[in-house]
Amino acid sequence: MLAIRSITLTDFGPFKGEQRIEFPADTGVVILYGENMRGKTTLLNAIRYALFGRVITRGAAQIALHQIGNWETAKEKGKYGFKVVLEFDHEGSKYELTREHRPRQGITKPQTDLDYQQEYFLRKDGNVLGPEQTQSELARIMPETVSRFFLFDGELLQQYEELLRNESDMGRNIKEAIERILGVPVLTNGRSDFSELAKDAQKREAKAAQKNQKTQSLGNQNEALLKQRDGMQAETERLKKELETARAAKVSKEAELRNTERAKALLDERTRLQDEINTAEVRLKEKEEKRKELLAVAWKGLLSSRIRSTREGLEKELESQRETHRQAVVAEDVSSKLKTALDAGECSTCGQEITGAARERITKLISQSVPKEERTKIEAAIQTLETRIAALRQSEGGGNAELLQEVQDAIDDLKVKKATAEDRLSDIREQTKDFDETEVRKLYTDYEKTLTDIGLLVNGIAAQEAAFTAITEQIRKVAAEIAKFADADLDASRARKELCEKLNALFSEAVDAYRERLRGKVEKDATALFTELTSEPEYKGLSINDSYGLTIVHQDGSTIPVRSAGAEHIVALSLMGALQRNAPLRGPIVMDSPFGRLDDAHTTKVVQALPNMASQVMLLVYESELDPKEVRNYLQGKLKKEYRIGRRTARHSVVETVA
Amino acid sequence: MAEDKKTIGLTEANKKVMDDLVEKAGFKQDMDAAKFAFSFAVSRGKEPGPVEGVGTIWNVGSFDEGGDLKALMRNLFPNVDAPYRALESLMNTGFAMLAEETKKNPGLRIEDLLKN
Amino acid sequence: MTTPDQELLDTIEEIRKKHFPEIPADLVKQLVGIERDFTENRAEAYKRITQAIDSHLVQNPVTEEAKD
Repeated sequence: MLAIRSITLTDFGPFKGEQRIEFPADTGVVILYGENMRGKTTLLNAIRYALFGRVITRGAAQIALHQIGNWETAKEKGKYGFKVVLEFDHEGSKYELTREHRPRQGITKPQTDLDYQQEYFLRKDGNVLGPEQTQSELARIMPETVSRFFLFDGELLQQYEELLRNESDMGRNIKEAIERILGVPVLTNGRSDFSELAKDAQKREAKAAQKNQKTQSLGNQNEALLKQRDGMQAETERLKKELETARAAKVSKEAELRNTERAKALLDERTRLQDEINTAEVRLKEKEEKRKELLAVAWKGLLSSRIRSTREGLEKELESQRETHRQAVVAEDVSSKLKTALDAGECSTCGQEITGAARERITKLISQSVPKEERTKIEAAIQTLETRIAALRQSEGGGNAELLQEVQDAIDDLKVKKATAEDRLSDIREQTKDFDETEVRKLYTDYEKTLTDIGLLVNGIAAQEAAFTAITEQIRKVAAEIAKFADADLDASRARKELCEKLNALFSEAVDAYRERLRGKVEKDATALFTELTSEPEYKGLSINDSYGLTIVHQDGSTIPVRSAGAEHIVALSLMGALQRNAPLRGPIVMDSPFGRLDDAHTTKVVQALPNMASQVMLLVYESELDPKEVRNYLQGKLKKEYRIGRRTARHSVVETVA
Repeated sequence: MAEDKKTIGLTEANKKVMDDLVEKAGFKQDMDAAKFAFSFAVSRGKEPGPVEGVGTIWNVGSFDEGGDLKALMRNLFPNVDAPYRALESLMNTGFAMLAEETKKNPGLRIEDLLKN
Repeated sequence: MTTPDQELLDTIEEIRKKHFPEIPADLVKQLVGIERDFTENRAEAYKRITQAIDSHLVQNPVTEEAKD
């Protein structure tokens, strides 16, 4: 476990000249008080710089190192550069790490990072280690990927929220960092090393089989299969890399698409409106044509009632004329019969003689019948009337006023729709005038293509993996055949292969088992710490997901999906404490202004829980964040040392022990 | 009996009314507007009468292809000797009436006239 | 209470005992140690693992009895 003993700063940030901070050997808490801009974050960065050669801002962006040196020293003495010496213990050894930034030879007034050179060396138990060994030791003691769990900046909290979103890049990185600190890579690396060794052993076996006459052809076959399998594996790896790239591209395109969603929506709306207007124009034209046709006969409508009444009058007259004509025809017939009887002197029906009065009456009747000329006139009148009625019928009908109104209404409606659409279109045209439409549309097609590519890659990988399984089976069969033959070389290589395969299987099983155990333990320890830190009685604890993301669990069993920044703080601290307890990799927790988002009640709880979180805790706080009297009260014997970062000038801070 | 007209037309003022009507109401051709004006006059109970200052616009053969209008005139006004002359007079009367209507009601539409 | 280091060793030892008793416990311990010490230096880890395996195989050759 890493335990810091001291840190000596030379012209690092506001810490002018050489300043040393000692950390007691006992486990406990060291507090450094300092107002804003006095250098609290700089101290955190000094540790970072010593260990990793880098310095970051609150937003985790890297700071250019040439800006770190103390300004006053540079101005007053013309001296540039800075140094940090970190003394620490680890697994029984004493280390002294020195890292320095100096202007390159010949440069008197450095302006950029390029004007500087960095030098560092590590002393272990008094002996200076070589550069490679230094790197190896430092990577073993405190890998940079896990430093976020030790050098804790309250501002970086939102990263922990990413753990709940499994698919994010940040979430994956943090998950990997957590597994690193918990030691999972020991097993996953072992698994992959033994897998490689097993493959290597198979190749050796194939070579040994080739040397033996009895097994030569099997050996050749095996070698060929192994080569093929290597090719498949390389291809699978290539496809997987491509898939990762494609997935990353998908994520970034999705972000771009979200930004251009509005643009696309407007462009689609523009197209739709244009279509709507075009359709309206076509229909308008049709309706207007129809209207013209209707108008052409509209005049008939105006006259229809007059024409009808005239026609009806004429029809009445026609009926009357026809009746008269019919009567005339009947009378003519009777008259003819009477004349015949008169001429014959007797009735043709009864044979009676027609004399005297009867003769006179019949003669009178005959004279009363309608003369032929009259009848002809009636017939002519009838014909005229019929012609007139036919002509009137011709002019009747047509002129459908209702239909015309309907068509006009439709035209008005279409005009309104068209005008509205045109108005909206004009508005959209204005909004989209600066859009690069092809770019926006290209983004969408590119995205679709990425999705297609991902689909193809996934299928490709599956196919490769299936082929890999098949060929592995073939290799196994051939190896089983080879195994039937005894040979010293063959036996040795087979034994090697079997051992490596077993070790691969062992480590594989161990990975899953260890992850399971760890998740359970981390959840348990994080819950224990969380219940200590939270003041909300209804919160039962924390639940862990596959990425080590923690969700708050209510006592009714439901989870709390969204958290405040304060709650995030508490959860993050619980995770850190749990990791410290379960990680093979251990070290001090250095916290810079950790109470910013917490209320007094939670601040008190966090302070009280600090000694349980790690053996060595360093707090960098300002006095209004944490009252020194109260802290002494809460921590009592666990508070090992207090410092104050005092101000000499705006660019000169001093670390002073609090008496 | 006076001989009937072989060509019919409108006064200058009525021609202007017709042109306006064709444009605004959307008649396909001026003949349609003229027929409309004539039937408007008839529907409002007007009788044929003398009219002065008409120009020549249409040949009766093309205006009344088939002679239906002539037959109609004879039917509606059996005492009229010269149906086309009567038609011409009613057309001019009709346009004058339409001009009055649109003056009274500038937003008037053909459809409104058909409703009455 | 076990240390985290021990937790990892215990996990792998349980599985070794149950499923792979023929692999010596101290070999596994040695291999875990190498992976732990060279987590950040994969090339070095692989080299040392290979050496450990070779060494073990030399010290524990395949015998006729072992084969049967």
